[in-house]
Amino acid sequence: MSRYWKVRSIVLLAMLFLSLFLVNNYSYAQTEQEALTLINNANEKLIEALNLLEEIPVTDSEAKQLTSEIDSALQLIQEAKSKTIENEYSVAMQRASEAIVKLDNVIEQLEEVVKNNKQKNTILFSLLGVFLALLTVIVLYFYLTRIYPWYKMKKVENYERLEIVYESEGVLNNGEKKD
Amino acid sequence: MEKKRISEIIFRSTNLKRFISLFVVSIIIIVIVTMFSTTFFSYSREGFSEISLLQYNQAESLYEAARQPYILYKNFNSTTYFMIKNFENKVTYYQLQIKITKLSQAVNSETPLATTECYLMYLNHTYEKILFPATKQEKQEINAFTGSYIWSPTNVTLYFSSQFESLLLGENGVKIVFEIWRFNTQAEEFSYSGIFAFMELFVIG
Repeated sequence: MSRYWKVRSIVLLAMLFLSLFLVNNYSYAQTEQEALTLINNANEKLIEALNLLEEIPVTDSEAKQLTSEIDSALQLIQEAKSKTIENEYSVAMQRASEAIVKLDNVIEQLEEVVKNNKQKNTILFSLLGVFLALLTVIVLYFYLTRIYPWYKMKKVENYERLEIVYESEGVLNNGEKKD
Repeated sequence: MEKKRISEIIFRSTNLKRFISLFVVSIIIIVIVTMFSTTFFSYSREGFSEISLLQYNQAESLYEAARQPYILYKNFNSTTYFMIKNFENKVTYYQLQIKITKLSQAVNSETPLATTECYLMYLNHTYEKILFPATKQEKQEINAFTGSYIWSPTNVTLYFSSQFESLLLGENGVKIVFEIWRFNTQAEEFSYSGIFAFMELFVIG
């Protein structure tokens, strides 16, 4: 083999290894980026779930169970972050995806609970409104039938007690003579 | 006879009837105002969080707030356990930051330890958990280590690496601080709660 062919094959081999290295590195970086994107998405969903959880009272029967589900999703995100640091991107992506699925489920349930709570509040406030209107009618009825006639009667009684004293010429009301 | 006449007088008295009706109406108004205030204005009941540093007693199979390590060997790891309880009256997302600082460094509830004053013991790993608040009944519990409001005892490996050497200048010990941070959903970030616990350890080796 001539020297030319030797050099040529070495250059070709070097090019092949270089392209393989670049492709590998590119896919490696791409996988890392994908894992980070998934973790970021999971984090956003976690915040959304926490915001929804704040809208329901802690006394709600489902609040405790939903909190524990959000926490288990958080642990999956934590694991995904650890695996990303350890360069285990496929495991990280799997954990982040599991967290997203879990959080989507929880968000759906939370939205349902929030909607039900709003409906309950609407019914409660409507009843309160009706009750208040009824009370206003009762108070008005009492005022018109009892309190106002009583006040009028008292007024008449007071007028009845009044004594008309006519002032005679040259004499004051107290009986003294005018100057 | 006399009694009957008096009761009749009371019963027929229009003033008394008015008084009773006014009394009933005022009671109804008070009830409505109370209902409105409790429904519309939810009083924010300030709560608190609790952190404990524990050791596991293998002989009795229990966690106890005693026998904490007081020496940290440069070549050996040491273990401690932390436990957090949520008495905040609301669901809380916690983060525990473990920092190592100089023995003489003051720690306070107003500001967390700045990065210039300490090292984070676990840079690549954060301890995070979401806890449900303790109920009225759970608040009465003593010696409880599990429950939805408890971050059950979790072990932490304490170590002294060469990067912490600068903390020992002129001193022979370090302070390991456990700071509780809480997630603020409005600001979407963790903020220092002002609650902390620390251990003072002599460094040998």
